[in-house]
Amino acid sequence: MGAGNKDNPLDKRRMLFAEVESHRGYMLRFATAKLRDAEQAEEVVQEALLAALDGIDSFSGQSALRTWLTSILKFKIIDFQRRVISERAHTATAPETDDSADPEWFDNLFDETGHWQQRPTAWSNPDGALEQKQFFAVFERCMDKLPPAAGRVFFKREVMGIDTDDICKEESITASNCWVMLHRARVALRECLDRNWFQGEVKS
Amino acid sequence: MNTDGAEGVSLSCKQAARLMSQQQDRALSDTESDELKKHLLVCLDCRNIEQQLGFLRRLANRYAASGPPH
Repeated sequence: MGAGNKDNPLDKRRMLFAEVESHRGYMLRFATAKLRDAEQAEEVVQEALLAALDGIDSFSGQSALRTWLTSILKFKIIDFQRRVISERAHTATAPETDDSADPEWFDNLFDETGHWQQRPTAWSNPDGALEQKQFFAVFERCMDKLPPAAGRVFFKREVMGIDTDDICKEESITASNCWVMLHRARVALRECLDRNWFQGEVKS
Repeated sequence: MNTDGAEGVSLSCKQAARLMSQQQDRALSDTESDELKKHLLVCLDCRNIEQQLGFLRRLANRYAASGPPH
């Protein structure tokens, strides 16, 4: 790997295949957010990856590979949902949400007067982190640690860019519930990035 | 900076954080917006949070568009 000759079409294809594969984790998260089912997500991602490899020659390189793969994945998800709906009547599931008091882990971030328990410090050079592969790995690990519903809502809102109104409909939750979940997710992610990346950086 | 005792400041950091997050999802009312501005004026901690929440959004956009650099 890596030693391939860029001008050799076969090597170029092989390199592109390897690059496609490197987006699998992202695609799985995307599909899981949409379908709420890890197995179904896996199935759809397989289909999308196969379709992508079949059609790799139509990838122009004009857009980022991830953007191109995501558009294929979206079609596959819609296709899959249509198939599932036609196979069995859509049964409403109880939404997995929590509109009650803040959970303990969230409350613990603040003292009894509502001030930050641990005072947030400024991050040095956050934009530099965007140029580091490892930082994205930390970000993915932090997203994985969120409660499933909060993780899904965050992914839909911030990564997929869906309006909160549409997220509410998809998740059968109220707008205020959605805002609360998003807020907790953001605060948790901020804290996780702070602990696992920026605090170490400041010291180095 | 601690806001304890600061005059006219009624939001706690916890409440301010909630508004900072929600302004990414909905339009704040005039009162909410004013209260948040007042809080941020006197609270360095929450100004840090505001910046970091903004960064989180940029990070998610970047993650969606191209992923990590190669």
